[in-house]
Amino acid sequence: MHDAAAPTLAAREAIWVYAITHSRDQAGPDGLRGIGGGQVRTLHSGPLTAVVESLDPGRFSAEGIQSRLSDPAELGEIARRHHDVVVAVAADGPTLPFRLATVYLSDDRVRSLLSLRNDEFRRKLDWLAGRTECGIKAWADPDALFTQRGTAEQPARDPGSRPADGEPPGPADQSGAAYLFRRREELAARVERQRLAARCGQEIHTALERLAVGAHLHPTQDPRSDGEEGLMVLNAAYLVESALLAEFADSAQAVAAAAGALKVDVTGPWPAYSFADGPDA
Amino acid sequence: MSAFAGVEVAAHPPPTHVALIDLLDRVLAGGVVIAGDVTLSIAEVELVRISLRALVVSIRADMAACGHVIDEGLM
Repeated sequence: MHDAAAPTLAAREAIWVYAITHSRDQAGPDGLRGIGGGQVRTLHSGPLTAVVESLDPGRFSAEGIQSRLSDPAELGEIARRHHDVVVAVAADGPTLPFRLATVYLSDDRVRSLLSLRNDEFRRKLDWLAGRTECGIKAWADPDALFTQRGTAEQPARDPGSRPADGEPPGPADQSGAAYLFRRREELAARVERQRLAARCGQEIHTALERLAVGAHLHPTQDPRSDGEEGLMVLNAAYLVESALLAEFADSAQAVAAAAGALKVDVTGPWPAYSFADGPDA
Repeated sequence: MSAFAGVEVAAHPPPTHVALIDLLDRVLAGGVVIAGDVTLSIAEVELVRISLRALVVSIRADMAACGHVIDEGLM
């Protein structure tokens, strides 16, 4: 159903928004191309600039864009192209990236967005100036953590909750009680391993948060199918002073080692995708 | 690669060769969120990851059948 407030894109230009910056003339390097292969250009309003691309209405109808975004391979490609533009833009100054697939129907609509939210965007850009996003992922081996710390840190059991048959049965006891006891111990050990892994990630995050201007936790990613890397215990982004990025990465290594992590992955510098909510988040 | 007290640390990848999985965390769940004029829906990051992995696995199987080796760059 179509009405005046929700026009279709069929015959209209679609404006794909990449990012907002302080006022500037050039989006990025000459010949910078966007997700639709078109020239990336700028729109201005007061002290702000939006970096956009006009999508060919013939090739990118609303249905067309939607079907591309619904295809995993095309979505991956669009994400990479969007990112390449944002990276090029961010090379020239503080940049507020937009979430993928923010589309307007005219240049004027984008300009009025800049004008309406001028204060908010400027405040965020000022906050991001001279800073960059650093990604930190850490993995741990729960078994190794359990061996290192589990025995020394057995949580004190509440005597009141201990079941009457909580004492280990004698070695010769092959009864159901022995089986139940063993099962309960296994379960407790598994819970303890998970707790230690979570705590390892939390320790790293707590230490790094103190060294950063901003911190954002992403959900941890699935373990690899080969299981060689252990369990991901941290997937986070930190906003740091660009000049201190290398130092921050070194600190991440040290902190992760101290927390007993198996492996650390440092990514970036990234445009500040994870900090688009600004200083008030 | 360098080692620090037993912790393996990956070198910084060049910005244009970031892992897609890290990129999806950011472009699908980060950035300024504004409705815009056109409502476009994108699956949750987790669902996209699952779809992409399935896709990569099937491409890899096809390529292996043809005797090619590919670097997926997904994970």
